[in-house]
Amino acid sequence: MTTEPTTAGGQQGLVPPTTAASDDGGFLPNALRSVRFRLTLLYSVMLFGAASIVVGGIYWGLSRSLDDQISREMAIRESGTIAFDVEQDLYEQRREFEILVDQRTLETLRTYSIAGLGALFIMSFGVGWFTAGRVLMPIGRITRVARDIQATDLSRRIGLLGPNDDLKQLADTFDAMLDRLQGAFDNQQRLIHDTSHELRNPLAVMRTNLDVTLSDPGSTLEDYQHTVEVAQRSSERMSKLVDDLLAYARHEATTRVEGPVDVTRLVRNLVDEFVGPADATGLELAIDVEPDLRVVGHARSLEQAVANLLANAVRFAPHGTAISVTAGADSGWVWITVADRGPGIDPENRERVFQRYVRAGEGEAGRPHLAGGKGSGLGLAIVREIVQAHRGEVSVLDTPVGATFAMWLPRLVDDETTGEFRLRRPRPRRKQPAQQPVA
Amino acid sequence: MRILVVDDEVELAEAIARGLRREGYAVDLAHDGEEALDKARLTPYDLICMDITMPKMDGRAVTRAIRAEPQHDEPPRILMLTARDEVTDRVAGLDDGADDYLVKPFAFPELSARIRTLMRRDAASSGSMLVVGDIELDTAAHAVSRAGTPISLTSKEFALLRYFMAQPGVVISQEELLDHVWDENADPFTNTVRVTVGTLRRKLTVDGTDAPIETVIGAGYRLLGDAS
Repeated sequence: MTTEPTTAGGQQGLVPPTTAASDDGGFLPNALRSVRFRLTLLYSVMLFGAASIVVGGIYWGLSRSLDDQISREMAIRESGTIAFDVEQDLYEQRREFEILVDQRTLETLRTYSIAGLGALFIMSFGVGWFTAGRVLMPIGRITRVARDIQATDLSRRIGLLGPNDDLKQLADTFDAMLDRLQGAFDNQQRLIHDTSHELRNPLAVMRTNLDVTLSDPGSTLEDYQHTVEVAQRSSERMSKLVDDLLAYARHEATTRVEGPVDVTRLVRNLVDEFVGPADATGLELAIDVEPDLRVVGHARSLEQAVANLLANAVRFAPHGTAISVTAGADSGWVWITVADRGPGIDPENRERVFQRYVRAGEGEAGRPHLAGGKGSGLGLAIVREIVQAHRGEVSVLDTPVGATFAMWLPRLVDDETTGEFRLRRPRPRRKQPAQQPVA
Repeated sequence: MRILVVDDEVELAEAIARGLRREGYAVDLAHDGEEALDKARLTPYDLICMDITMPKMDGRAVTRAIRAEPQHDEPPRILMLTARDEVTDRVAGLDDGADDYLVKPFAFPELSARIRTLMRRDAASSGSMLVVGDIELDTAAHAVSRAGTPISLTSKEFALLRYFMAQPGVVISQEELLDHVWDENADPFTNTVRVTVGTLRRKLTVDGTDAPIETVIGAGYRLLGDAS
């Protein structure tokens, strides 16, 4: 997404002469190839053709009617009352004269018609050139702005004014695409920025420890051991961060492919996977999932979202407590909750924890501050990204003990009449899932 | 010289403290903004190494609070340590009242050099050498000599001598020494100050020279000689 404008910009930089010459109106071979010239030519040729047909038709019709008139008169003369030769001669003369006059008239008409057609062709070329220029002006503007945007920044917009016609719609579509591009671009910039800062902390921890220990000739074996342990923890933190970043990037790349996802099976499988890690910290996993829960989405992404919530719970739940995972459906939504009996999250931080690099424990009070933070600070941000991409929501529920995360996704129901899947339109307000008692 | 290291990365704060203690500074630790402010109100620190992004109260707010309500005669020097490196961040930090700014990750020797520089401004001298009479002390190389004879000192003795040499001829009370040379772990009711001054005095008396530190009864101690 981010590379496209750069590459296009690079190509732009390589071949400026052709692209620059194509939109100014000079009568060069390039101008002859321009849309404006082609439109003008098409316009005048069509107009010329139409006018030729009309003029030709008039000419043909007139000549036909004149011929008819002459022969009709002849027929009248021959049919009866012509008695004398003198009259006959006179009649012949008058007839020849009439034919001559008719021919002259037709010739004059032809000459004027051809001259008129010629003038019309030239005028139509002028009018066509002018009209095409007027019509194409917004396109020129769109091109100029697009070129500026490539060269400078994504914040500029075309903002075409005027009636809501085809070109305005094109410009508006282009603007909307730029909005999305800029949003994605800014998001990536922020992510890179935040991440590089986030990597600096474990790096600083490692480097200072190494510096201090290595530069002191009096460092004991314990000092070295401590330093190595610190370096190990820091590198674990960094690799976790990098893993999450990759997951984040993968999620962004794959969410476009969608299909029906069996949430019931997904949650059951995931909980099975977490039994091992939970056992290792003396945690019990309780599961209560309704059958036949389906949503439309990307299975791997949704799996990752639920896995992040589970991993969080396993990380924060105190030894010997239980984590409960529930899933159910309610008025067009499928909900999944993960509840732990850990230190919980203060109400004022329940929105903040979904921001990138805000870790539980960095709150005002309540949750004890964890040295260096146990997570990468990306896990819940990824959950929210995924859920929102599926037109759902995720939040921290108000619970007396521990933290309960709940996500809602629009439910997919089997349409019995057609046999097709369809998304039931969820109601704007929905109830919270029933509070599950934590064993 | 007493330093407060404030950082929510416990392992980073501890490593900085370890390195600074080795260089003879008395170092206390705080892991969030509120704790830092409490300690800064209680103790007249010579310098505070302050992280910016911290829970409860960030380093900039703590700095502003310290600058807004001076608690001690000598306000502490503040060195900001942070992962944020934009010019706007640095300017904001310095405008809040910080004296210097160091971006993480940093090389420890650089941190230590900057601390020496900030302290030197305090002592109104230049360079890393302190000279009083025939005693020479190199703050960077950690070397002490008297009349050309090198003297080996522990880091606490070194810190004590450095503190004396910053104010030659001035009587310094035992409480002041506890505040600036010892950290919060020192027990104020022991005779640790008396013992360390005694050892330092003995080590500085080489080849029949006079003891350079005298005891002023009821007031404290004084380093004899003029700064040159």
